[in-house]
Amino acid sequence: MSSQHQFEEVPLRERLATNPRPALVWAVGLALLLLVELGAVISTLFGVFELVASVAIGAVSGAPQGIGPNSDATGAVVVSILNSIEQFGNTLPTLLSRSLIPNQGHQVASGAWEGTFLGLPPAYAWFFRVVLIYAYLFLLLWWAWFGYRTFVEHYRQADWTPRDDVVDRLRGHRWGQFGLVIVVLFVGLALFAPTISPTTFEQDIDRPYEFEVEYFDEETGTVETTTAGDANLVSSSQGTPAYNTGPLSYDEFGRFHPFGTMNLPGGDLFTFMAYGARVSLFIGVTAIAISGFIAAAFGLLTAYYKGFADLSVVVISDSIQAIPVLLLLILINVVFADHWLTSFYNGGLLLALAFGFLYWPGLWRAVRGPAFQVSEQEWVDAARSYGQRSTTTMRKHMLPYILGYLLVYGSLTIGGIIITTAALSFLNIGIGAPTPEWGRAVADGRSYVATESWHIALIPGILIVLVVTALNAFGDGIRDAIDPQSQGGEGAANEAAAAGGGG
Amino acid sequence: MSETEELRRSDRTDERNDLVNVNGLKTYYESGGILGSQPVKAVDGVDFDIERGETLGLVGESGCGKTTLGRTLVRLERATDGEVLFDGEDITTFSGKRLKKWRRDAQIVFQDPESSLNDRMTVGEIIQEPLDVHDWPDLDVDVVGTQKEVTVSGDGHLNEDEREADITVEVPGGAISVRDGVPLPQDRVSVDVSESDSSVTVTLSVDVSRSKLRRARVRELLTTVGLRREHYFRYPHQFSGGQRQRIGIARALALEPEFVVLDEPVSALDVSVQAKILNLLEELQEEFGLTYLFIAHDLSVVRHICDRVAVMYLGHIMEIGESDELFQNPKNPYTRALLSAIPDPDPTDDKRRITLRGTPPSPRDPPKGCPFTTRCPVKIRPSEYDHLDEETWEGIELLREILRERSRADRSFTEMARGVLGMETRFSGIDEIVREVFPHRLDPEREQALERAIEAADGGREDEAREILGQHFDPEETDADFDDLVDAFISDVHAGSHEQARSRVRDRFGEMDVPPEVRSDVETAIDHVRSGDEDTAREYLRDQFGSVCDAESPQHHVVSDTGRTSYCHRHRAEHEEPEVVFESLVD
Repeated sequence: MSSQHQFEEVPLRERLATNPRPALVWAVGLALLLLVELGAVISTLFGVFELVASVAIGAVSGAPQGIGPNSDATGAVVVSILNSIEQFGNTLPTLLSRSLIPNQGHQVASGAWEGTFLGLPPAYAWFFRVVLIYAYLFLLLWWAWFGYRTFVEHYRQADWTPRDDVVDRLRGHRWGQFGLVIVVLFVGLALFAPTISPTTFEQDIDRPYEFEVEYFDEETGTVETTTAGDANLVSSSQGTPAYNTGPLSYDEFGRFHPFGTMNLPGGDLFTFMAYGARVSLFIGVTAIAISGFIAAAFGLLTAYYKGFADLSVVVISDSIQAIPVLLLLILINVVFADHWLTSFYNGGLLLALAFGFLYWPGLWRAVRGPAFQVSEQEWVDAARSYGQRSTTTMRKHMLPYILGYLLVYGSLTIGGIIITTAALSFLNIGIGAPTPEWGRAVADGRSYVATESWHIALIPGILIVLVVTALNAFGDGIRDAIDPQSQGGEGAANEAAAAGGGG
Repeated sequence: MSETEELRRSDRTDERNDLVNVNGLKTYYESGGILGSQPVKAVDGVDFDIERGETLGLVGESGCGKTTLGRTLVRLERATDGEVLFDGEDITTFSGKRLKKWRRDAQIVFQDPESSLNDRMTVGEIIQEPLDVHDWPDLDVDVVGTQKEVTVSGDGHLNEDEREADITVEVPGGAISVRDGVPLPQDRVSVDVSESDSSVTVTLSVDVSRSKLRRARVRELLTTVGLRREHYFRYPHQFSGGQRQRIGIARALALEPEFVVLDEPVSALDVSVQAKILNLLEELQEEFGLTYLFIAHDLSVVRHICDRVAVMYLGHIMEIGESDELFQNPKNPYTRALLSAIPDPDPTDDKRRITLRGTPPSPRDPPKGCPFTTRCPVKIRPSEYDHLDEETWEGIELLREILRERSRADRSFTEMARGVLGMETRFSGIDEIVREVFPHRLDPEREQALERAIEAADGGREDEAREILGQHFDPEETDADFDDLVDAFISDVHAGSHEQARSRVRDRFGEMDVPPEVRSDVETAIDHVRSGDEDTAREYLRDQFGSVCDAESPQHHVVSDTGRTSYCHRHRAEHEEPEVVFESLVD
């Protein structure tokens, strides 16, 4: 009997070894895609590391290192190393970069453009770069999808998994796909902000008087030089035809403004929006990560242990939900006014932490029901009957069923956070200048809505609506995808995991 | 023939070889309310033993506590009191490592194969999980053929528990044998034995990884339960109910348990599949010498598969004994009633079905005395009421049952407020209940009038019937609408149900027709109810009409040569046996 035992199981490594071609093709493709953007990948990655390290060191020593004057030695060293790697990343050749496809140049007497990509007018040069960036982004996503397909086709041992159905349903969900596309556009805007904007944050907003702008002066017929700050002032939109640079137009200095310029002290609105998207995304993702983690942990614990554990979390979450959000945020704003945390994104990090603290009860309530339903399934009892550890049971047998929920409610909540952040900036208690934030653009532009300079408030307003709608649409798509009811019956727990997604 | 059969045969002659002894086991559920309310007494003191290799059936209505009992035996519920001896050790006290280790020996197969398998995992992962949890296989080693001190090193370790070792090494020579349950070819194990004067060192090396062994074991289990090896990577969705139950059985068997609780394993399956699963379970029992506790409410299934049967009611075991015998000749009144509910395909059979009145009492507030007292058709009467006619006695019992039910019903806040304000609630209407429960009687003159009215209505002279009734019965006497009553009366007569027509009028206009010796007691109780004090009414009725069944818990009496026991007062010498009373009921 024992001689015929077979070991049919083939580990993934061996499956790859027997048929390496598809995997190799995919890996080489991915490597090439990443290689052309190596500089951007490194600088973005280490930019995030630097931020995390600064916050961590700040939390340990009470002041942000590398930023404040009295830096702790080791912390400063760590941060400066990360910073230099980030800078090094910037020097690496990158395909989609401002230097390869420049859009900032000036006209010469002949009317031709100098300094721009192939001598194209700045508008075309910029547009070309934007198209390339999004083409790259969608190619990268498609490549990831292609990788998944390759795995399913060549390497997966199961011929079907429940995930296949989810994917199938998502593929037929147009509304969700619309949401996904807009979300990708938004994330692309945030990720590629330094490349995608017509000018940069430093030059346009942060230190405009340290950068110079060359332009063709028609009166003198020569190329003159001024500071970016002065140019911004002159080209700013102030609601009169004489002082206005609208969307898709050039200003007096030959600079192209896709969304027009802002009010005093001026500046490019598109650049402001791109960097603002970064801030919104950062706040949204950080807050959702924090509150989602707390909600999932409490959801599992309360559903598994029930009784007193549940009751205490109910009381805590009720207490938190009873706090008036606006008052608390104003309070935090005042109390932490001089705190080191405020120095990140002019209060953006503080806001993200506050949102993370304030939003978990809502998420927890959303997943509590499904978690309870899953905990009543007999497979949880079965796990107990053969002695599985409680933490493993929660992770293996319960978490997969509430993750879908977290995704749905998370995407809805991110929209809410983006709106709230904008609303707070509008009320001037959120993220302060100079860190760009969409809500502040709406606030700044509201007195010009009825004038020539309507674009200052209107464009950010529309974008906020669009992004939040898209996040909701995406959430709807996920909910419908994990809902077996939409495609005929499946397991009871799947229903459990999808039934409460209507809110 | 098989090991199990042999075991059983030898036990008949020798003393019993029990695997599980349950003594005074109680499992209560706390209701979880903030105020300390009554716990639900799901299992309320049961004693029984399960012999090694036998199948004990556990039957009863839904909600009688049989599933809780099964879950307590595998430590999915904590026992409130009592002990469960497993191989002589009380497992209710186990915790930590000891508990985890013991869990290998006792497994459970759940009722609902939809819910018992995590459908985000492949079948392979599901069956393998218990193996992973216990880091199976142990690779423990028995060294035989030597008296010297033995040390084992390398991939194995010395066997320390009573389970059969995975690998056995014979010491002079170093011959290896691997246990059947472990899918390890002998040529993948090499052993190095070095012997000194006082000790033996065995160094073992296994060149197959544990995880590979586990996967091979899962594949073997798949074939053992009648699935195919290639099902390993399928998901539960891709299987039918019967196949899913096979997966559940494979998971329960993965750790080679001695004892398996089968919690209604075929109730959720198609009838066509049930037999296959039952046969599989029997085969597996023979092959692996398993001991089963088979929980079911389908009595024919139990009869088919079980050696012995325990009948459960409201947290108590009512009767327990050899299966055939119990089905042939049930001794306990409850067993009798339960068995009479089995449908009989023979239409000429004149077997009488025993219909129990009411519903089982709440396990939160079980009756005092015998748990079956509220519904027992052969309940012992106090001797002073022996001569009372059946109808009256039934009426009294029914009244008690109704009051008991009413005390169980949740009263909403508004209903309580209405009660306090003296307004009508859905709980008022004791008069109606009394009309329903007790027979009523008219005086002879009115009785005659009633007969005349029936005659008239029957002859098609409705107006005359109405006139007669109107003359003799005053509409003021009753709270019901007189015209409606007469209409219903006439239509009853037309429908041919004269007796119903009579009682319609009698109930409204007659006097309660109970013998004088109980009349005052019943009226006192009714007065208590009228004044809103139903608890006092219940207690009063119990004091007046209760017997030993309401007062004392019965004992388990041995009722046959094979040691069958029944939990009933009627087995005591001073009372008539249940079957005698049942016979007289039927006559």
